[in-house]
Amino acid sequence: MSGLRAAAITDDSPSPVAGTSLWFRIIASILIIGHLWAVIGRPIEFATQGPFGTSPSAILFRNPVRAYSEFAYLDHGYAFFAPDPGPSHLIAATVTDPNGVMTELLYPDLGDQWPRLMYHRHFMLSEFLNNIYHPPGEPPLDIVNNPTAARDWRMARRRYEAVRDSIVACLQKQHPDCVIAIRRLQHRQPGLPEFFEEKIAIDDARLVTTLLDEIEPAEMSQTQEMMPRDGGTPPLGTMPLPSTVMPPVEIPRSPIPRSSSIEEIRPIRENAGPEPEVPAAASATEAN
Amino acid sequence: MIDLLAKAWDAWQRFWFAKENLLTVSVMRWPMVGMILYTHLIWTLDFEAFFADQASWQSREFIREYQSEQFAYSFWWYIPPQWMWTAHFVSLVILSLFWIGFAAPITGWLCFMIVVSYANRVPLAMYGLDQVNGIAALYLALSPCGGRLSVDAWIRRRLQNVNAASRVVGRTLGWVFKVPFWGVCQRTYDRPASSARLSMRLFQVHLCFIYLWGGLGKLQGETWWNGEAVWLAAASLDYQSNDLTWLAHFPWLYQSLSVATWVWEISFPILVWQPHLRPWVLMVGVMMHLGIGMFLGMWTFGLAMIFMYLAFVPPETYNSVWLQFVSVFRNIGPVAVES
Repeated sequence: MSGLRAAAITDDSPSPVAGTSLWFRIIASILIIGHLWAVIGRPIEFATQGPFGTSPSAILFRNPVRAYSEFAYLDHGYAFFAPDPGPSHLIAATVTDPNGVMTELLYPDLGDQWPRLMYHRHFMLSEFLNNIYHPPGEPPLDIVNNPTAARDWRMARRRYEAVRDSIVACLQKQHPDCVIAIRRLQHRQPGLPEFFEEKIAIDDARLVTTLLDEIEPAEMSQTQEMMPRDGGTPPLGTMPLPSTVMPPVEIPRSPIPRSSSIEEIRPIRENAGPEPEVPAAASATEAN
Repeated sequence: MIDLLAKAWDAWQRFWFAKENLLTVSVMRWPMVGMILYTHLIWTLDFEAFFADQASWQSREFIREYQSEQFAYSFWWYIPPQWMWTAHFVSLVILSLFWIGFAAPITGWLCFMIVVSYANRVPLAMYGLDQVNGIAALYLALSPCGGRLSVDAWIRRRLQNVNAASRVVGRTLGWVFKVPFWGVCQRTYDRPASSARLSMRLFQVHLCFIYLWGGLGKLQGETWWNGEAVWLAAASLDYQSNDLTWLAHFPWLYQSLSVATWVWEISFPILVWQPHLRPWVLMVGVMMHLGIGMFLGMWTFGLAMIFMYLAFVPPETYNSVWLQFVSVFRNIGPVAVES
């Protein structure tokens, strides 16, 4: 028995390099270095992202291995819970049947999506919708003067609308003959002073804010202030940092202008705030 | 100088290409491919909502436009709508075959293709779990992970124990099908191999990069410095699966946990290579991921990360655990090392 054990382990123990040719090892070494380059390329890009894009040096560094990293599904930033654990972003969908009865659905919802993995799938979907959000309307004056920035501005909005319309179309398929309207919600965590002094629990309705489909006035003026007249890169240190710290409690603002066809849609949730965001597809359905 | 370079080259070769027991990668195949299989099985519950061409959460047109400048591929682009369910079930069958180690040299690469194709079809619903699944699928496909603890190994033993005629049949099948049956019939198929070492090292080094960038990313945030990050994670209702708000009453605890997290992540790539520290470093990681699973509901991601730690366990440990397991439960004398 012990002999068998010893023999087995000795036979299987790591042995010196043998049985492979030198050329094989040289080529394999080059491939390994290229592979590891691809592994770190995307995290470096991710870490050097700013409000005006990724560092040109990081892009240059990754370019030779970009195709491989995308092909092999290695293009990840690995920034788990970084730079800060932020608020969650949810999607609230209002489903109105032909009789006018409204049902409110929430994505993600632990009660509806099971198992937990499926819940996380919906969670990522709602987070993505928020991540690519871009306000409607024409770009601000300073951006209009820069054709590239203006094109990017409009493309970003189209991209957001495409994702939003996909979500609405999926809900429409699940609820035929109903009018679907969705809106983005932000669910933040209570700060410690709120938790202790104001007794705001983590499920407190006051922590949920409806995100409006419009440009943030403060953000707009800040952006205009930061952007140089020629549309070039703003001076270092003047760029606003990504919003990572919990925002203060927001006071619901006046609703966004909407078409008369959705007048009767009202939010059901007590904390839902202003009117939902209704994409073109849903409006058209209702108009018909 | 030349001597130094020669030593470095020798160390490099030993690090990546020394022959390694297949047991480590073969053991890793079971939990990792099991997780991949589970991940894809769950899509079945809401398959059409995510994968249908039209009226799905992520429309085909949008995703193709979204990836138009990427080298991302997916076989889903070539599957007609009426064949989507079939393609899904065939994918699950292939993943199951790789899981049990049948024709692993082929099913391994098919598994990788499936993982990437699913991820690129619904990229908006992907998260850390899918990234780890992709890594696992790639490195297991590169490895001879079907050499042990597998149906391939079982077939090989059967063929070796029967008459010569069967071996001829096996070799003929091997000639026809090239890889899997060829592997089954090779006497050296389960012997230590450089590819096992290469795969194991890639797992180890990639894990180091993941933690390094995870830690460095946290340093860009304010709350990981001031210690509130763990509180913010604990107070996120949408992640929470068990109440952690009691942490608010112990500022020293959540603050030290916040700092310890990124300190541990950044130091992982250095400390894990120290043999005497390795078990402790990995134990901290296991506790962290189990904690995230228990309190933030991300069991699948946490377990997938822990499974990567198996690459740091030497094959001798698996051997001795297996021998003890067999001895205890069978209470017999000599046992074969081969599973």
